[in-house]
Amino acid sequence: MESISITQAAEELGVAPHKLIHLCERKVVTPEVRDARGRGTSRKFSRRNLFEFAVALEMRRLELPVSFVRAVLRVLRAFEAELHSRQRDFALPDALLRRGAPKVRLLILDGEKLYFRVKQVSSTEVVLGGVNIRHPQARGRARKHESVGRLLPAQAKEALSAAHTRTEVDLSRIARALQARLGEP
Amino acid sequence: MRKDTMGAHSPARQGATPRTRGEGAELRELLDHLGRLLAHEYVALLRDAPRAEVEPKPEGQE
Repeated sequence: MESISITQAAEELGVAPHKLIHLCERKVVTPEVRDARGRGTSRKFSRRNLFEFAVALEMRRLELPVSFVRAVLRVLRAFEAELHSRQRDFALPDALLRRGAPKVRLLILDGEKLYFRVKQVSSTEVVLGGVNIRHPQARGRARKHESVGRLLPAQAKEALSAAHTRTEVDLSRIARALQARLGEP
Repeated sequence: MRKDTMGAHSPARQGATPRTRGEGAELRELLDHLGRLLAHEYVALLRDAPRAEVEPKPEGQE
């Protein structure tokens, strides 16, 4: 597994190292190769961690709460684990860049409902989700999370048209931008 | 040391609604489920399989 230091990761992503350290300390990104243990040990990151940082930084740039970023990265880890169990060579972010790979985007409606959109060039779009990621300050019933599922086209259209705000993050494009930054073909 | 849950400065006395036990676990389960669902749809699109083969249609629909 590729081992990337915090300095290298910060250089590749074009940010100050403290921003990445902050994401690690808030348990948004967990170093996959080696975590820091006291003084004298440094964090080592994988290629997937770089992608997670790239997604997290993009979401933080939109001022989305850390709890939201953590939730999105958890979905991505479950997504990757499931696909990896079916196809041994599936790994993020590279799998998103393969020829014919469906485009994956995340969609946040009204700042608190999380959806994913998956689209293959030749087919209709699939919209999944509807999880309420309430602000951590919300308590009790206000934090109730709704069940998730695949939305029928009419349901997806309704959810989109009823929303006051929509925030969309293109995960496939982030993966491509990361690849370009790393200077890979 | 035990956490102060009934003292004058406890969240309950300060008027805060106590955290629902297990709400974090519930959310994590939902997120993991969403990840698996996403993988399922991703594979279906990757193979460009007709929808009927991937997911059975509800009863009463053609």
